[in-house]
Parts: sequence; structure tokens; C-alpha cells
Amino acid sequence: VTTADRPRVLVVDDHAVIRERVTGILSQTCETVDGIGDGETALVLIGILKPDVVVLDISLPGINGFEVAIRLRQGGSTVPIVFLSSYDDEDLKRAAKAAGANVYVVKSHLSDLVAAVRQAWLADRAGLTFSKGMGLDE
Amino acid sequence: MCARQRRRSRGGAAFWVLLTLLIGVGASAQEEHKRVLLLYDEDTRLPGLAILDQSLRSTLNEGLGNGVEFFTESMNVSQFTDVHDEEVLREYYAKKYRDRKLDLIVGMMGPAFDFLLRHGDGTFPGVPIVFCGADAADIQGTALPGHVTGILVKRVFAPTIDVLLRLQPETRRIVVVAGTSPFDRHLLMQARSQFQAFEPRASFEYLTDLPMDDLLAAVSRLPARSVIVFVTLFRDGAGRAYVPHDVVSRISTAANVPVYAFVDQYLGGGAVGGHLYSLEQHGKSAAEVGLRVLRGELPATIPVRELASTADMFDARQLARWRLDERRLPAGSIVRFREPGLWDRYRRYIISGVALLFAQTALIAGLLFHRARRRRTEADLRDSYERIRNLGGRLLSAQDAERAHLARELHDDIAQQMSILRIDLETLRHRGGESIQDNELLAETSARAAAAAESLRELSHRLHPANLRLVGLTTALRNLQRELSMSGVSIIFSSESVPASLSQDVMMCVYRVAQESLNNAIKHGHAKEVSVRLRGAPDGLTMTVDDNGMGFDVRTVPRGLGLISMSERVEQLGGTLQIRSEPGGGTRLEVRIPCATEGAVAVGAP
Repeated sequence: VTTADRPRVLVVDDHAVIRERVTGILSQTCETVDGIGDGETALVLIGILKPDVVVLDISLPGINGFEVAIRLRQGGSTVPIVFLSSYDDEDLKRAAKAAGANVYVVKSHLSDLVAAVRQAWLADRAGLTFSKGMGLDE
Repeated sequence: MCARQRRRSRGGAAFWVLLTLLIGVGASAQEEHKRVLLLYDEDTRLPGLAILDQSLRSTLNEGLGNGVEFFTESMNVSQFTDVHDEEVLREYYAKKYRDRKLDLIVGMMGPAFDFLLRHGDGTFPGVPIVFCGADAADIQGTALPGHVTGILVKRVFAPTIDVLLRLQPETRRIVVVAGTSPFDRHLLMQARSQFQAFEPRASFEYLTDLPMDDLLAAVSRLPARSVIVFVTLFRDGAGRAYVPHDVVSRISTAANVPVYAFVDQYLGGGAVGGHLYSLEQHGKSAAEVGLRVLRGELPATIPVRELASTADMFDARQLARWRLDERRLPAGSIVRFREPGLWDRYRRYIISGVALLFAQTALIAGLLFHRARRRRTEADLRDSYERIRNLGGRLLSAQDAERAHLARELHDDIAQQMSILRIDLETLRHRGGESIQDNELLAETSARAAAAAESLRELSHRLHPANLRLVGLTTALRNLQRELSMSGVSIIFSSESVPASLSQDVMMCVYRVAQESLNNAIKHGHAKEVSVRLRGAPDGLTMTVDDNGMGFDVRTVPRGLGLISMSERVEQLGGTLQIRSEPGGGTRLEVRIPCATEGAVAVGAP
């Protein structure tokens, strides 16, 4: 698998062990950027690194994941956003969708994450908008 | 017999008693009707004579129980000096009093005394005469008949000079004012002889021949350290007649130095005072002699006496006018016309005023004190209320903070650990175990971990709705609606213009009130239908919760409803909480919280 076949993914989670697990799983198919723990830094890094996909935890110190997504979209970014949550919660899914996210993945089903990241990346490359796991009204 | 004799003698005694009484009454009746002629030369309206006349009359009346009939004559012989006039007068008086038996004649001053000595026998034959007002010089060389007696004036001038020198020791010049009438001359002569003793101490100047205008001008321009002594002035240098009493007033008004006098009648008219001869006392003494004569004493048995009825008398107003030191007055001096001070004149008003002022002051002070105390109490009460409210608020905040802390611990640490556990279990499961039993155990463990994670999420949510922060108030309330609807209760939720950026405090407050009131409606009110409406407005947020439950009496708020905690939460944010309820009629709760709204719609709102 060449570099061109592997999307560059930025993982944003304030919990180091989870970040490690997530990047571990994603590294099989993606180029991962690790080590970002808060929303403000994430926004700055996204501007600089321009990743192909952003994986966001909802609960972050400072501005939360929803806030980061809203600001990205307000700034005109179309980068696919994958939300990673501890909870399989309809309210959170709806809020994620309203904030402009593309995918909502529950942390216990990380196997879904690998596929979703790849699908979102491919759809974005094709100029399509990808959506998955965003709740009942999907 | 005996009895009859006794009766007769008793009748005789009664006759004698009656006779004695009748004689006695007759005698007293005779005494009541004494006729007294007061003979003057001049008009009795002259101030000095008026004093003398009044004193005579009142003393005689007192002595005889008001039983005196007075006649008064003013002869004016010194103004009409022709002898023929005296003859006319004599005949006139003789006719006038022929049928009125006089008991006493009192002759006043030298001219009356002279007239009575010359014509008394022919005019008023046998009537006793008492004279007064004359001095030793007037009767010098005269042999008094047996029916005449009287008292003489002892004219003393020297003591007044003593007094004035004592009062004004700096005096160098004494200006003597007197008139040109015979009486004026007569008195002046006596005064001069007495003044000689003082020549070494002060120089005497005599203003005795000036017309009135010149006299007044002269006394107004006297050099310093001068004084005026007024003797008497019936006629001025130009021959015009005056009343001395008036002259004293005019002179003291015009004078630039104090005026002293010798007779008490001038006191009050402008004279400072002096060692003064009292006309009143003289009149009284003469009347006492008259009384003795009227009671039967023979005039010849009453010796003629010379009386110096004098006293050191002063006018307080004049002492003040000339700034004379009262402490220099001789001991026993009489000071008249003392101006009553403000205190004497207005004592009652001053006392009442001050009392009123004190009363008012006390009242005002009392009111002020009362008001201050009330304000202090009110302030204390406000402080206490504020402290209690702060305490309540702090307790709530502390509780919230503690819950949030616990929730965060659960979420951030334990939930994350659970996530990792589940991720790892998933990974193991996907790799495939060594045996079927291992794989089944892995699947079972994974499911148990998922269940534990879910329980954890619910616990965390109940402790502190973390979603509130993440998903916003509307979504959190909708979530609450869904959770509670499961118990077979219909909950309707609607929201309108809820601002996006609500503070954590406001969201938490509204969420807790909603949670508590839904809980009350379902658990205590057994409501089947509850509607929750949330509305945003430019000035704040309003939430209304209506239920069809049992309701309660708001006057006796039941415990356990958490109403106090609810209202404390609301008040802490400056809001209001109203509850309308009645037993059997459901409950309506309305919360208003003021907050700046930005108009944007909350994230996560459908």
C-alpha cells in the first residue's frame, strides 16, 4: 500500500491510552498523526497539517469536539470528521450531525472506525459527502 | 317686791347702756365729718405739689377712716403781688367758709403760711393751722400764735455735692442752674452758702440769669469733667414762667453732662439723682401733725420741727446713660426706674420657649434614634437574609461542583478505562482465541464490559448531565423527557427561541428545576400528562411546567418537593419562581431567569 493509498489521519483525544489504541488500529491502513489533547491545538494543527480525515473525541478540555467541528465547517473546511464517543447516545449523534460531522463511532466498536475512516476519505476524494452512524434519522 | 325692784334696776341699766351707745355714735359721727382746707399758693397740679397733696390726703384719710371732707384753694398771691388782691381773697374766703365750720387748715409753702399769719384770724377765726413746705428762713423772727404749728423743710444741698463727687471723682466744675423768681432766689441763696465748703475741690459756675434758650445752649456745650446741679426754676432770665419739673427734663435732654438735683420729684424727669428731699415724706409728716390736732391736741403743745426727710436716690436709666458706676453709690441708695432686662420682661416666654425647644429636641432625638435603630435592624435583617441566601447558593454550588467532579471522574477516568478495556477485548476477539471456550469467554466478557460501561454512563448522567455542556439545554431536556416518558407518563416538550450560548449556571438551573418538577409531578402528583415549555426572550428565559396531577396547597408547601432548593437556585441567578396549585387541580410552575441572549439557536436543537 503506497502513501497515496493511505489517508493522513489526525487523532484528537485527551486520553493518551485511547489515542495510542486508536492510532494503533488505524496505522494498519492510514498515516496517523498522534499527540493532540485539546480542541484549540487541534484547530491549529488541522490548519497546518491539512489531514485527509480528522478523528475527534467529543469530550475535550477547553472547547469540546462539537465546537471544533463547527469552527472547521464555519472556516470552510470540508475535511471528513469522524466522532469517537464513549456513548451510544442519540442526542450526541444528533448534535454531532448538526455540528457538521460525517461519522459517529462508539469507542467499543473500533473495528468500525477503520472502515469508516477509509470510506469517508474515499468519498471526500471523489467529491462526495459521506455519512455513517449518525442516528435514527440517517 | 324683790323681783320688781330687780326688774326696775335692770331697766335702768339698759337705759344707761343705750345712752352711752347713742353718745358714742354721736361722737364718732362728729369725728367722721372733719373739714380740712388745704391752702396752696400755686396750682396743685404742679408735680411737686401734686405729690405733697396726695400724700396729705391719703395720710389724713387713713388716720380718720376716710371721714375727711377736703377743700382746696390756690391763692396765686405770688403771681398777683398787689396787696389789694390779698384783701379780696380774704373777704372771698371769709364768705365762702362762713357757714362751713373748718376743723383744720393746712398751709403749704411760704406764701400760704404768710397769708394765714396775716389774715388767718379774720378769715378763719379759731381754726387750727398746720403749715408745711416752708423753711426756717420763712418763719424767722415770727412769733407763732397758739393755734398754729407745723413742720419746716430742712433744705440740704451739700450732701448731693458729696454724692456726685463720690460718683464722679474726676469732676472739676459744677454748674448750678436756678431761676429768677423770689422762691428760686431764696433757694439758690441757701444752696450757695452750702456749696462754699466745696470750693477747693471744684469750681462752681452759676447759670441763673439766662433766658431758657441760652441756658439750654450753654448746658449742651459744657467742657469735660463738668456736672450740672439743678436747684429750681420757676422763672428764667427773660422773666418767663416755667414749671421746674419740666425744666429739669429739658435741661437733662440738652445737657452733655449729668444733671443732679435736690428734690425727689425731679427723679424720673432726667436727673441722675442725688441726696434728695422727699415731698411725699414731708406731706405725710405734716398730715400726722394735722391728725394730732384733729384728735384734740392743742397746736401750742406741738412744737414746730425741722425735718430732713431725705435719701440717696438715683435713676438707673440716667446712671446707664452717663456710664456711672453703680458700685460707687453710697450704701443704702435707692435706685429707681431700673429697666427690666430681657429676662425680667420675657421670662415666661423664654422659659416656655426653651421648654418647648427641649421637648421638640427630645422628640426629634427620639424619632431619629428610633429610625436609626429600625434601619440598623432592617440592615441586619437584610444581611442575615443575604447570608442565608448566599449560604443556600453556596451549598447548591458546592453540591453541583461535587457532583460534576464525581461525574467527570467517572467519565474521564473510569469510563475511559472501560473503553480501553472494551477496545482491547474487541481486538482479542478479532484475533481469535486458542479455543472455542476462550472465544465464548471473550464475547461474554466483552458484553459484560459493555453493560458496565452503560451503567456507568447512566450514573454519570444522573449525577451531572455532562450532555448539558456538550449538547445544550434543549437537547438535554428532550433527553430527560425521553427518559421519564418510559414510566407510562405522557410528557410534551416544546422549545422556542432558546439562545445558543447559555451559561452553564443557567442551563444547570433550568435543567434541575425541570428534573425536579417532572419528578414531583410523576412521583408525588401522580400526573399522567406533563407539558414542559421553554421560551427564550430578549430579556431572559422562561420555562413553564404544567401537570394534571393531584396538586397541593401552596400555603402549606409539602416537604420533600424540593421547592425551597428550586427557588434558591432561581433566586441565586436573580430570577423568579411561581407555583400555582390547588388540591385536585394540578400544578403550574413558571420560572423566569434573566440572561443576555444572543438569538442563535442551540447546537443540537432539532
